[in-house]
Amino acid sequence: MKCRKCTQKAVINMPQHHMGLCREHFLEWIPEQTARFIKKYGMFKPSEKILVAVSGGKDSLSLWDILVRLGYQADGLYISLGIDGGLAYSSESQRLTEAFAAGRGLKLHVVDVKQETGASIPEIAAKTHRGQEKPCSACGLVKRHEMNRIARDLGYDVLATGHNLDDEAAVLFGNTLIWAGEYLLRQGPVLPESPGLARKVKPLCRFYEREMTAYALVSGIEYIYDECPYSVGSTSIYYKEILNRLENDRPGAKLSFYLSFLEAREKGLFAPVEQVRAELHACSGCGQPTSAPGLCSYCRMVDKVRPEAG
Amino acid sequence: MVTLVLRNQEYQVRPGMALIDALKKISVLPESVIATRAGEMITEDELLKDGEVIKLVSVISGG
Repeated sequence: MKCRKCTQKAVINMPQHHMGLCREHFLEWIPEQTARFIKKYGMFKPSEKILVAVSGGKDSLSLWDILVRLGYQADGLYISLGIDGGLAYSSESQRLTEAFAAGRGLKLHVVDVKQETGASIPEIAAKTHRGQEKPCSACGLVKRHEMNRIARDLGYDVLATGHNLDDEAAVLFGNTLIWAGEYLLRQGPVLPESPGLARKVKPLCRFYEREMTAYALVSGIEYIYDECPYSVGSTSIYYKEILNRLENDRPGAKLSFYLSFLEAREKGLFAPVEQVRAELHACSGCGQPTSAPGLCSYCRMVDKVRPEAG
Repeated sequence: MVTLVLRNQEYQVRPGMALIDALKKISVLPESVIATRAGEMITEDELLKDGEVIKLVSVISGG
């Protein structure tokens, strides 16, 4: 297969775009498209300070690499979760993230969950009985809280995450199966800033996971290849596999599923946000927004694991 | 034979086959992997040669 833009051999075929690209043109195409999506969805301006949530995985490190290549002021935030799983998962992902930042002279903030709360993610999950047998629910809550806290405390204009189209399509698929109205209203490339909440953006939301893996490989980005040990058998991976089967039979199905959803919502398929979203209150502990007066879910959970709580 | 390696698993297929057919034979969706030959990415129409090892990089992540 030849590159669409030159006569070189293609290194990637993207059937959903009816296009193959060589290494050089693929490395140009991904940042160009990212810049287009940032502009199209009004994610941020060149003058704004961006905090990139980095996990050591292919998507977030690639996002950081792309934003820096595009000339944005982008610093990283790594949240150490204290997950081992026999793979030294957290320590290895932290090492790779720190090496990435050091190699490019980038600023990285590191937050250690155990230092902040007195317990690692698996310990928090075990002590609070949050989630079934997995700490994923506690992990999501802690990460959302910490990302928002750091973005606001350190004066960043926007928080960027490395969610790709497969992540977004899997979440959309899950929410559609149960018609989770409020979640469907909120999902999108940009979650605007609101009192107590930093603006959140997903600049990679239109790239397939396969394209992001390819970008990390051709860019020589060293990322953590092993999965989080708790993600084995997860619902999101199951949904991604189903969507990939669909994609295999009908190229472009994943992209169309996500883009048609965004378009349908834009045209008013769902109720306006004001009619569905509950009123938010400031948490009496941390001050971040919460749906009910008093302590937020994060503070209630962390109160149970702090050493002084016994 | 051609060896395809995905994580810790190895599969053997006949040489002369296109990568896309080899993936079908071992029941791996092309959408879920990136194939590399000697560290270089290759597309699904590539013909596989006798004795070579194709590394398949899994693309799915998340939890």
